[in-house]
Amino acid sequence: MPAKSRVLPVLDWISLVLVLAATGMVFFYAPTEEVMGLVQKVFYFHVASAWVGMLGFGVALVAGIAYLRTANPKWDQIELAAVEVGIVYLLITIIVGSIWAKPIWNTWWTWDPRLTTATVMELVYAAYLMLRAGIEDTERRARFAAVYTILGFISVPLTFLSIRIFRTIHPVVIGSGDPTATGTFAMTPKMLQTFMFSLFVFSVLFVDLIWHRIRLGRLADTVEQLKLRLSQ
Amino acid sequence: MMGMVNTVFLLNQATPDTSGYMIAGYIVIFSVMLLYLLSLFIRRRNLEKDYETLEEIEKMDAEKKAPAPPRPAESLQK
Repeated sequence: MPAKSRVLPVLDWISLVLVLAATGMVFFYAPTEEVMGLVQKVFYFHVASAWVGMLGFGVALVAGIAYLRTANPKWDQIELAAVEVGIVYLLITIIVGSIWAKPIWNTWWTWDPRLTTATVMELVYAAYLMLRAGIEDTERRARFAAVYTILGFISVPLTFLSIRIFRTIHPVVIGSGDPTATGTFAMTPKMLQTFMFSLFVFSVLFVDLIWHRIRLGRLADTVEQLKLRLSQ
Repeated sequence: MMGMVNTVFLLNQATPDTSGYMIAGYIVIFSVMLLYLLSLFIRRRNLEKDYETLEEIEKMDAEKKAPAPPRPAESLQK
């Protein structure tokens, strides 16, 4: 069985404390936005989740390239872990965004460029898991998955830039956006501090989760090898 | 008259109560995160059980395959 890490439990506790601190900042430190009211407070974790999702797909891209260059299975495990964590956080982003949209846009969903590209991105990476599940040969699966993550990554910059290049109602909080966007607001220093801290906390959480998922992947490989050895 | 206009203006500008949506948002955030952690935990626990079972089977197989030690009577005759 893969050896237990001493650092990981410490990172678990650090992540938990940081998440609690970020939640405290959102509720008790950041001021309430006057036009939208309390629902604006989901913005901090909504954007931080989107950041983790895109970070996960970015790590998967790097791991995919590294696998194709080296054929080392560790990169395949990192790639799978990054995609899985990315999918979970992008799902949070999409659902929370929809909840925010109801009082602000007066609809749960609209086929706006940002919402559409984010959904496509989620589906592209969900298909990645299906692709893996459909191939039995481990080397072939890893190679195909690596190529897929490289191609699938096109959806990430497309989603990020969609609100900057297309006409959209999705707000662009950082940098200029469409003046007709609904829900845009100017961040006060306290809002900005809370936002930056949330991004930092979710980045630490990403490292913690991906580490756990990689260990799980290693254990699954060990069990698989043991099964093969016994069947021979 | 001016006072009434100001009051109407202020009423129109009042911050809406969207607290229910905020609560729903944070319930989703923490629920999905907890579900994922639970899924990691359950998958790890199942794999650890599988590993222990397979290791036991491997040990039993190794014991079966190992040549039996000679009996004391046979070794004395030789």
